[in-house]
Amino acid sequence: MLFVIFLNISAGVSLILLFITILLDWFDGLTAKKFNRGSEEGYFADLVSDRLSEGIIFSVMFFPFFFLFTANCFLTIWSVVRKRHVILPLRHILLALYVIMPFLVI
Amino acid sequence: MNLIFHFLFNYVFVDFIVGGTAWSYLPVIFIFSVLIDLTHLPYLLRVRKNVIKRRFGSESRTRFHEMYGLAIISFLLCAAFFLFDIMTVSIAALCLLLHFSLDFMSGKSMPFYPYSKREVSLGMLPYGYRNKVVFEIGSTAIMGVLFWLRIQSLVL
Repeated sequence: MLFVIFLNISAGVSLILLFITILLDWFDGLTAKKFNRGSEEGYFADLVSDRLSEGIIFSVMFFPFFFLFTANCFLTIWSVVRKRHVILPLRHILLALYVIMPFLVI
Repeated sequence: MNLIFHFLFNYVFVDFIVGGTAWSYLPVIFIFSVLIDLTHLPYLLRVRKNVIKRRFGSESRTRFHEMYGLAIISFLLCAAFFLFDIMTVSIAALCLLLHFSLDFMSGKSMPFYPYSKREVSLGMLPYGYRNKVVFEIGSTAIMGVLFWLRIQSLVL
């Protein structure tokens, strides 16, 4: 939510917020694995939180990311049904684009 | 969270994003803030005799209030992108996602129903029925004040 709020104010701050989101998400999974605290409930909570966070970010930059987010929602359901984790790392791609874009423009 | 809170929160949030022009999107914000809660209707009709005593937990939701619904509605919004103004579709998507997010954060849900009946609760609301009611009333009142302030800035 903060990313969306800061998007119009400062691209730099929103970039930092996106980076922190990805870092915390990664750290959360890592901690759960390291201390053997992983559970199905935690996995579901993580999946849904990730999709909702993506959805809020991509609803304001609709095309083409929201389309990919929709695909990710279906992939998330498929992952749960098939018990195989197949998800598009959309926030990571956005972060990479944010970092690469100034160089591409130049 | 309750319908009024969802509408007020979404209005204030969208108004902040679109730079104070949310008033022109009021019908879109209202419809897409409360749309998902229409899935409570079958449950409400089922328990209509003692609706006050019942709680709005995961049992009150259909699959359209969970990940399944989010996927379907996102797909429909992608189709709407080709038919309507992008700003309207974008605000509709944001309102729906904020609704899903607030409900996920504030209560119990079965996010992958009907594929899994595993219940997930982030436990971000205070425990106990009385505390929850106080929290809902308080947060709705705060959002009401913020909404009123946004409207006042529009008038002035």
